[in-house]
Amino acid sequence: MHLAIPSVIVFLIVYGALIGAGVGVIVLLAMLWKDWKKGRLW
Amino acid sequence: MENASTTLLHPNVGWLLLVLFGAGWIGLGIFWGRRAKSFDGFMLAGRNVGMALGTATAMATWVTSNTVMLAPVFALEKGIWGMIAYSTASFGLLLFAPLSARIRQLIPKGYTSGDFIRLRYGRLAWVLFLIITIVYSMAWLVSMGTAGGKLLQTLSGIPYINGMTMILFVCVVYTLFGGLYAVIGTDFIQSVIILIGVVLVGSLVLFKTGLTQVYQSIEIHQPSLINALMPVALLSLFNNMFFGFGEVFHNNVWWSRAFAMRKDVAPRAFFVSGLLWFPIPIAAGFIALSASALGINVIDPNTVGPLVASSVLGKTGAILVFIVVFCSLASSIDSLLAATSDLLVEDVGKKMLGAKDNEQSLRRISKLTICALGLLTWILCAREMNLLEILFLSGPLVASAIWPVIGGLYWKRANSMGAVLAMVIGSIIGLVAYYQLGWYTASLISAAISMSIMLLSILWSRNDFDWKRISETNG
Repeated sequence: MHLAIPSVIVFLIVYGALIGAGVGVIVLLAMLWKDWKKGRLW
Repeated sequence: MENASTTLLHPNVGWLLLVLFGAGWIGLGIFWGRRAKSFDGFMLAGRNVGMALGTATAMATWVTSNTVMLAPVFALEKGIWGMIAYSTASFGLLLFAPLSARIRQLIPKGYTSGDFIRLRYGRLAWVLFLIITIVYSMAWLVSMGTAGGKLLQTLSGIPYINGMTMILFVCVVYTLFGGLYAVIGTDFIQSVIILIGVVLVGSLVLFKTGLTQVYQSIEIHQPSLINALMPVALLSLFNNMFFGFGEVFHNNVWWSRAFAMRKDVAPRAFFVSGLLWFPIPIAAGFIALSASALGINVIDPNTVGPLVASSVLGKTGAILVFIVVFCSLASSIDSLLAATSDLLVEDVGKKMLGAKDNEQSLRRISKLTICALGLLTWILCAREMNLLEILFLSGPLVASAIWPVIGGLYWKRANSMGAVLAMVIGSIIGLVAYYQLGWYTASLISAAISMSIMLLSILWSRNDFDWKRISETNG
């Protein structure tokens, strides 16, 4: 049986993943900055 | 052996990148390793790791060379569900978040996952658990070394044995000097590089091809890849999820991080790391899906990622993939070396064989164990054993440990007999399913059998476990 996943869902998955990974970099660097300023890296 | 004209990069470029990054990791490892003044520092980075480093180390460790190389293969063979199936491995990290809080509450001074099983279930379950976890860890370690050597050879023509030796050498050296401090510090940089690399390559491929074009090409040439009802893909989705739960819940790589992070940081860091990890296999998988729209003839599915990246981005794409692959390998190999040596020193050396419990002697044994593990991995990798098969075979073994771990952490009535039977019967039936039905059912069946046995044993048990027996022992 074949039921194609709609293109809009594929768009959301792929764009969501790329944007999500990009946001991930910013989140990591922001957390590093916050921990470093408070002296709580380690 | 590949020659320079058939590979994506010239071997000299490959060697240059390998030496530059290798020297960087070793230098940083030695620099951060100076913080490791005590055995606790060497083994658990002083038990005070913050949110940024904690999140990055959990994420980077879970990004293996498989994540960036096998996710595209999943997408190529099982389509949209295939790449989502790979991403479900992140649920292991998400669900380990509450477990890590419970672990820190029950066993605040613990060292390894083995400590918990020994104190909670006794010797028989502990020995069984150690066998499962050591087989799995070695299979993971050797599969990384083998994949690393082969990938470097495919990408740059560096001979397999040289590339594999170099990767293992670099990881052993900086783990040896810096312990978990070096591992966690380098993991942060590696996770940022991996994320940037994946986003960059994925976005550039997307801009070059266009998603509409990719979708239409798949619709015409490979419609099964966008089939929402592809049975194997749907089964592999759940199987991968349970394999991921088993891998994360039982393995000392994750337990050692739970012990290393500050108590309030551990659950949040694991949860955020799961969220950050989730998009990576999808972004990497999308690169493979673009192959047909780009008119690329994929002969070897294992090289589809680098092939697409280099055909769209030229040498820059190949260099980016090389760096991302090297970071993925290093971030997992260093963690496995550190966590497995902790397990061998703490559980086998100290608790089983009665090694001297003094700082200097333990640290010396720990360093020797890291070297021995590195050497054993090198020997197995040099024989080019197909450890990826053993890694997949270990799926049902680790899946059988999911419920003994959860039960042991939360239910007083969870008992030794139930845990032993759950691991033994779950593993055996899971292995039978692996051979009789297919790899995509093995972890699922093993986890289901193990869960049933564990729940039945809890229902019938009159056990009333005193949690103080764990916390008061201090590991």
